[in-house]
Amino acid sequence: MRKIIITALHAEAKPFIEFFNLKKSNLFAKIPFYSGEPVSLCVSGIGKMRSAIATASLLAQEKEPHNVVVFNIGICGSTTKEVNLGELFFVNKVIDHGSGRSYYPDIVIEHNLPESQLMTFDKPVTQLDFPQEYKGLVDMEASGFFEAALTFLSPHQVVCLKIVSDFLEGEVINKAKVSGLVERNMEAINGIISSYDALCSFLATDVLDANEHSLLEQLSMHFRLTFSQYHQLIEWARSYKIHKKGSLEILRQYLQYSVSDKRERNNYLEKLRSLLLDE
Amino acid sequence: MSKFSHIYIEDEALGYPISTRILERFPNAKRVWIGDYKEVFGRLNQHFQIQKRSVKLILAVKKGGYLYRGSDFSQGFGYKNFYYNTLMLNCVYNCDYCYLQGMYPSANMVLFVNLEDFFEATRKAVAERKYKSEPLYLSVSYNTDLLAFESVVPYTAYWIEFADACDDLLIEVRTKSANYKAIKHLKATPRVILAWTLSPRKVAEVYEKGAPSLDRRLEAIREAMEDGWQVRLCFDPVLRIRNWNYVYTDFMEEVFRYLPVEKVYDVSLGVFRMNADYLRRIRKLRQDSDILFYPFEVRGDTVSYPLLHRKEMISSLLEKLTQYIPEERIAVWE
Ligand code: SF4
Repeated sequence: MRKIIITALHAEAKPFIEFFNLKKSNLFAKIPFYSGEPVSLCVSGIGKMRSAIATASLLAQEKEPHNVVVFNIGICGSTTKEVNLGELFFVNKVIDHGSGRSYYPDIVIEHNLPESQLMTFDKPVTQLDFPQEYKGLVDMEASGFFEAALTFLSPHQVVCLKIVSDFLEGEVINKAKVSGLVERNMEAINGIISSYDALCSFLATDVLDANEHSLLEQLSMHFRLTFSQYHQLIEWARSYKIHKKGSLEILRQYLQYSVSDKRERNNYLEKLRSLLLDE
Repeated sequence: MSKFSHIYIEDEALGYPISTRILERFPNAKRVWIGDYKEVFGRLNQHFQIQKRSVKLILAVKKGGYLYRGSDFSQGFGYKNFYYNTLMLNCVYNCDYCYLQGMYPSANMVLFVNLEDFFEATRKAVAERKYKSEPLYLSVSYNTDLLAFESVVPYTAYWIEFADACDDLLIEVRTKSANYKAIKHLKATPRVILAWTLSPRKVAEVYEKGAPSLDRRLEAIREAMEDGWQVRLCFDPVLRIRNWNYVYTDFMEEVFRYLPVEKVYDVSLGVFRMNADYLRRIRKLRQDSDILFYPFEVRGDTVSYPLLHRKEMISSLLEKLTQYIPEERIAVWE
């Protein structure tokens, strides 16, 4: 399972780069990207638009999107002092202040972190700016991250972790402090990231492996199957493997026969069907 | 029993006593406020089987659609005023063959808390039913298993009490639950049919994940029969597993050895079938269950075993069943 962290600031990324020993890569000209194991990381820049662009750019080129989890991790403000500075939250609902739209991750792992909702604003806010009735965390990226990530992934593959850095009282937070907040929560964050490994086995994986797909493709070319016949053959092969628990090698012998017209092709196709499906 | 890490609550649902009761029952569940249940339940790209690992509960207020007209005359029992309702969406069990995996976008459970609106609509439908010589027949455990959720919210009990007090209403509670004790305190009423789905021991173990064993279901049924309830036995879906004929006939013998045959209200028998689109969706999400990859035949928008196989299965099992139950009390889907 591939894991990708997206932070807004370099100061948020730095502790991860050091902790996971990530290497700078030139994947994108304008979006700093760091690769490594078990995570890669990308610094999107500030604001929901930048977060969305970085997230979408990364996910658009994923070859196995079902095998990825993305994490938006960073600092945030809090409208309430009922939480502690430096406290790490698992975000369970993101509200975009501009559109009023809500986003919900599927939290399918067990964890011990406190959870909270979070509202994403277009510009920095202070206590005076946000709706009176709203109580929770505040940031400038998460809704863009969710909008982009959910275009490519399922909601259980999208995670948002935020650390409270201020109470929206206009204080300036320097880079060292930002990095310090992330560092102090590194163990907990790493724990969350690791717990996503367990999901791997539950993801839909094709029962047909590359060799079997290649055999089916050869048969398809050999008998000049139409597109829909080819896909039918794949379905039958899956059914054979799962239902009858047999090996597809029994099909290989058919590569020695050749067909000259449509009728012959259909006859062979019927033979394959019968071999794979009949009781 | 069910444990929920998260409860999603529609703002509007909070004022209902059932919501209060549930929130008290799960004090440690994280609460997330939502405007409308579809915001969560209807999200795109949810993964049904991954969500089954950690099912969330959604408390919602249903706005309209308190009962629906059934299309198939209650699977052959011939009730003319056949209706069903959806008090909950989804089920605590996770049967491999369950069509809900293909029908709903999510495995999370939605519980509608405005029960009074359902009752009111049902009273009205009873009064306005088309065929006045027959009762209104209402299936209350339709896209869910209501009795399996009884320890969280006693909807089965509420509906039994409601039906008992409502002339011209007959309700069916279909279940795989063994939790009969949750309704044992109620007096048996002819306005209720308790319908238990039964499968051979091995089938229940392998393909009905989370559901009680055959033995526990049989014990619950026997107790319900002894208490005077009308009990329907549903041998449905019958699966074409290896040696299906022996497995199912042995199983039926065992069932009727254990249960007093004369107390069986009626029986339904049906082979596995599913909407073709649902099956396509399910196969995309999971390739771990052999019964879903049987080489089915498509008939209209339904998939099932090829006609010859269906006929073979039904005739063999019907023959077995009629050794115990008169044919007119057996409804068949083939
Ligand atoms: S008991 Fe019925 S509703 Fe529940 S999972 Fe099984 S088939 Fe589906």
